[in-house]
Amino acid sequence: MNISNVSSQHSIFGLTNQTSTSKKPLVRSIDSVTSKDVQEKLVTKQANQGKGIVVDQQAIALFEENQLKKNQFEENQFEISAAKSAASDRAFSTTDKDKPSLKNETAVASYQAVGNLAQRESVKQLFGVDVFA
Amino acid sequence: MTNLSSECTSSLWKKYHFFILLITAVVIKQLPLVSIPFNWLESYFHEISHGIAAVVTGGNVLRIQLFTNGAGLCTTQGGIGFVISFAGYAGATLWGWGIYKLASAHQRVAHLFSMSVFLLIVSSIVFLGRDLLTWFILAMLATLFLLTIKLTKLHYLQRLMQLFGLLILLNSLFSPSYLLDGRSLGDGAALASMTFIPEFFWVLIWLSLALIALYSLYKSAKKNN
Repeated sequence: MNISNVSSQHSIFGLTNQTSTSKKPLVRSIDSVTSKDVQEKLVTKQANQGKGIVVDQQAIALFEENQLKKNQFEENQFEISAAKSAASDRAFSTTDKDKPSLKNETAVASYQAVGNLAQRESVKQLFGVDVFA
Repeated sequence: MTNLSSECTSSLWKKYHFFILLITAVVIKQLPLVSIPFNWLESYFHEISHGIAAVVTGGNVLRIQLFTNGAGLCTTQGGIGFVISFAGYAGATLWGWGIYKLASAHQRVAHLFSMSVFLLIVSSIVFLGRDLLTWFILAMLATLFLLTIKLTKLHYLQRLMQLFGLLILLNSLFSPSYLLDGRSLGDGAALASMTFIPEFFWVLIWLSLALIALYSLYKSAKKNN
């Protein structure tokens, strides 16, 4: 249960990264398919578009700082939940879960002894054999 | 003088040989290691009696198991359960009594009977033993009887067979009392479940049979004197 939650958080987190900050991978992908001329045109266009926008450096810095904090917080949450799930995995490993208590072991042994006696009895009846001491 | 003392010893032996043999048997039963083969002997005659009873009542004997502590098991198929259960202790008593009586009858009879018992044990090894421990115990018993057959002086064979008979009888006298341990296991419990008569009653019958057999041997020994 924990693991699925963590993976979904992680995927959302990755998507946010792509949309907000990582423009470089997009450009790189265009680079790989377009020719040099088209590339230059695009760069010029982007530069021209940038001229019209008023850039508030303080706001950008604050936004980036917030994003960074958010990312760090989410990363920490992911690490904590991963550590918790690992710890719980260790605590309830398959062998530990299957290991019965001493009381249960005694009960199982007693039950099996009765089962064996019953089996022995059924075999005796099946073959019509009697054992005398 | 020597002749006089030997005559005196001979007459004492003739008069009290039953008691001398009985005391010897009691002493052997108390000895830790020496008594073991004789416990096996009683156990063997007990189990073979179950087997014979099964065959007599129309069943089969599948196997005989003997254990070092003197315990034993006889696996049978068919036959009358009541007779087979009862035959164990009663049969051992009868074997003990019979061995003593036949050994007392004549030296040749004692010799022939010893050979018959040896052959019975050998055939049990071949047909009824199915495990290594049982084979080992039966081989030891067969060796015991082979040694008695090999005795050159038949007089000693006769006395040895009488001693074996008394040892088997003593074991069959005390063995049923081990059934009264409150665990409801063994022939007594089997008979109790078949007849709804308590185990104690069957133990008492086996004990009485062994005492009657012992008394009968005492009477015949007294009569021979």
